[in-house]
Amino acid sequence: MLPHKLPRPDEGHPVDRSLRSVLTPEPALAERVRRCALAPAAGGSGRGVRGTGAFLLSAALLLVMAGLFLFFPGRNSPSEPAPAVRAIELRTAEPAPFLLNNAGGVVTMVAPDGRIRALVAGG
Amino acid sequence: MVPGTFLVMDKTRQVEMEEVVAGLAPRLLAYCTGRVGCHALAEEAAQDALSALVERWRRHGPPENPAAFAFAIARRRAGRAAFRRALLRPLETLAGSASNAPGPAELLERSEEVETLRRALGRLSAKDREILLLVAAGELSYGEVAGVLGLSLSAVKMRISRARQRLGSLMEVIHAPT
Repeated sequence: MLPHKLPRPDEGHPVDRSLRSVLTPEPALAERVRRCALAPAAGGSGRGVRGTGAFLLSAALLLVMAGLFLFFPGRNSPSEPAPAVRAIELRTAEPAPFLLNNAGGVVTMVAPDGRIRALVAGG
Repeated sequence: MVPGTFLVMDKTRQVEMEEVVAGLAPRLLAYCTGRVGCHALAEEAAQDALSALVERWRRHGPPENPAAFAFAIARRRAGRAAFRRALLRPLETLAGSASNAPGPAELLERSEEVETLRRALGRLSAKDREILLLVAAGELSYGEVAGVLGLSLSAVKMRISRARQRLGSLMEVIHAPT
């Protein structure tokens, strides 16, 4: 006989009986839980990463994100101030179609009216 | 045994496992309902615990004590579910989407005696409530409770006795006319 089948002491204690009478679930609910637990024949419960696994996964992801942010702060992080941007406006003699060019950190826009705007980083 | 493989269970062992699972299902549900106070979350926690037991049984054979094994898992799952429920409750209320799942009050019938018991149980300390639920709702023996809670047998006996006394006293106080 398995240990869980041993008779319980104080089975008839009034406090226990009261609690049991209040908390005893409906048989249909217990049956559903039983069936669901027995349903997956192989490969685990089939309910995916849950509980501790999900928590650890979230914590690991957060740590990785924080590490990336700290060690690779990027150009606009507080530790490295954003470079000043200076706008240069020129004019061409003839109107040109709107063009946008970004080469070597200089963004150049040529408007249809012939004006050229250049945004130079680091100036 | 290679990880991921399952024991080929003979019919006798399969039947034994199903019997144990069938016996544990209502007990786990009752315990989780008392801990969490919500049918849906209790069902989820109980099902997780039973699934873990079934998986363990299929992979490595029956644990030394299936009830203690399942209740140890249910205890952790129910604790987490109760914490999550308490944490999210204010947000759900603010958002106007508080779950319609019945809380502890809704779980119980509204008879006077049941209401008194519910209020007394709510006023018990977490430790007292835990051990009472394991013994009364979970129907675990003292030895099994000692295994689940990591206590000595004498400590379990003492704690359960005091918890019953406290619950009785609280019920008297609550029941007494003001």
